[in-house]
Amino acid sequence: MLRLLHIEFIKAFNFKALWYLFLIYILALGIILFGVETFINDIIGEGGRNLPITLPKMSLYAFPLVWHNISYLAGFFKVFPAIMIIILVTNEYSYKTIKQQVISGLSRNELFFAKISLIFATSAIMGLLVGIFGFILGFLNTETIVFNVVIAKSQFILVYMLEVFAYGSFGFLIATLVKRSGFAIGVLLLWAYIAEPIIAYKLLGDWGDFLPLRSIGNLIRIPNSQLMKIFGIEFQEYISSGDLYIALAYTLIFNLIVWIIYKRTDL
Amino acid sequence: MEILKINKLTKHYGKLTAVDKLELSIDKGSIYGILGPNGSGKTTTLGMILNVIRPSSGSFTWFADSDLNVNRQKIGAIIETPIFYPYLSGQKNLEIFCKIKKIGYADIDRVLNIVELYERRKDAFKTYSLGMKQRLAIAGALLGEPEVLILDEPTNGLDPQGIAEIRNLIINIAKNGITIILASHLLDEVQKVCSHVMILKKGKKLIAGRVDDILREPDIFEVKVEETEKLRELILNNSDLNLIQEHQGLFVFSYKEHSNGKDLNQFLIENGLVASHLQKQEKSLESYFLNIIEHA
Ligand SMILES: Nc1ncnc2c1ncn2[C@@H]1O[C@H](COP(=O)(O)OP(=O)(O)OP(=O)(O)O)[C@@H](O)[C@H]1O
Ligand SMILES: [Mg+2]
Repeated sequence: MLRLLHIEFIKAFNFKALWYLFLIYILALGIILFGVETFINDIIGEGGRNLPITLPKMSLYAFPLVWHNISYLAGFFKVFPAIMIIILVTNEYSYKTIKQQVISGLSRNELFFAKISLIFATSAIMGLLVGIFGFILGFLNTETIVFNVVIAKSQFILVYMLEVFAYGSFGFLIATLVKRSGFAIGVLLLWAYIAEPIIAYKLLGDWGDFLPLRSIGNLIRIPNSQLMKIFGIEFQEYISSGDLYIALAYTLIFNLIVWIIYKRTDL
Repeated sequence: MEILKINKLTKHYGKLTAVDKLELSIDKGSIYGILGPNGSGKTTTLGMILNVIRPSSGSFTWFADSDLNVNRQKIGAIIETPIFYPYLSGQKNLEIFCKIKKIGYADIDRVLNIVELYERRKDAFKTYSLGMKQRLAIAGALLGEPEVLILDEPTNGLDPQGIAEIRNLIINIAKNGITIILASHLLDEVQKVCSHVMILKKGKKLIAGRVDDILREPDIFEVKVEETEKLRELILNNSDLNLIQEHQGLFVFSYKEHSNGKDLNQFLIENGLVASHLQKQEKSLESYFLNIIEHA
């Protein structure tokens, strides 16, 4: 597996477009993470003034809340790693290197698991990055640091990695079906931001929550903030095993379809 | 020892049968030429035995072993056009090959020197000329000293000097007991380097065997005489002579095995004929090939 990952690393590391995407991702994430707090605190400040009770001034990024809040916000950017994966997968088709690798001696299974290791590594890197952001913001915004409090709820970072992995697997599927990078990215964006929301809206009841990308997004639900408490809304503050199973099932299905395609088709 | 055994290998593309129940056995150390006109199924056959194209039916076995994946690292191959990551250097592209073949990077310098690309190894693949790309593909196939080399038109895009170099390279490699499977349109090249050939037409095997055996046939002569009637009669009444063609007084006929022009001339004079033109046709794979393709 490490050998396969190394092969993917050589291809990815030297591909410039990927670096630009990664930099944009870091930049966008940084701006949002550091920007949102000021924004929300401002609103709370404004709202608090007209309220009979005073809201406790509590940062979004204090330990341990930071883990939930930050992984939720980072969830909006999981389309970046998915696009990176799409580019790397479709490259193999446009350069025909998917064929060459088999000619050189890679088995169909290795071909598939090389890409799985790539998606895994991407998720790990993204998770690590968000984790680092979390630590920085946490230490900056927590007055007394207690170890147990710091690591409480840090499982959200792990779940964030799963979220990126699942979303990346969806990208992998589209890339394998469509084979051309621009087209595949278009399909992903179209599905994620237009088609699925419309279908979810048309579906009765909670069925929309079972759509692929929405159920992946449901892994980390919108966190409670002081702002929401103003309106008396309470959200789920934990990872439910039901959400976990649905997302895992989708991940499995996406990759299973790709695996069958990898096994069956002429290259 | 049998290196490759192909059993009733077939590939359909819709209604078209690209390869039709192909049977072939290749022994260790042979240089096997695969010939055939465009679209006769050479690349499709090689693609199937390399696991790139899924056969519609039939099977093949490498090294008399049923586990394909275990053995794939022992096979080096080029199929039609060189395929590499354009943005990676020649060196980096070959590093990927090494990882795939589970060998160290140490062999890269050796193969780059063989194809004379060592100086350009740091340049991106997309900056290479066509011939350089083809050379890199050959380098990739040679990595890890494979036991079998599969070369589909390896001299595609090379200059005459490059073609000669590749020919010598193939001959040298073959001396080390490496088995080579070579598909090419350069019949002259094939005749020079191959021990065996198979000829394909529309996916079907027309003939396969040792080049020497295939070319062992009566010599063919062209003769012109004044007395055409007399020659025609002589040919018809003599079992050593077989008329192939008569055109504007030029007779083309075969004369018993391993003869030379002198024998024939003697024979004609003994029969009261004086030839104004007598020529032995060059015995070549090319003429054999063109003949069998046309008449099959
Ligand atoms: N992917 C494909 N889809 C449909 N038909 C195909 C495909 N690949 C090959 N063919 C057909 O299969 C036949 C054999 O093609 P193949 O490439 O094996 O020929 P070839 O002997 O290598 O020819 P050439 O000398 O031109 O390289 C051709 O008729 C070709 O059109
Ligand atoms: Mg071909």
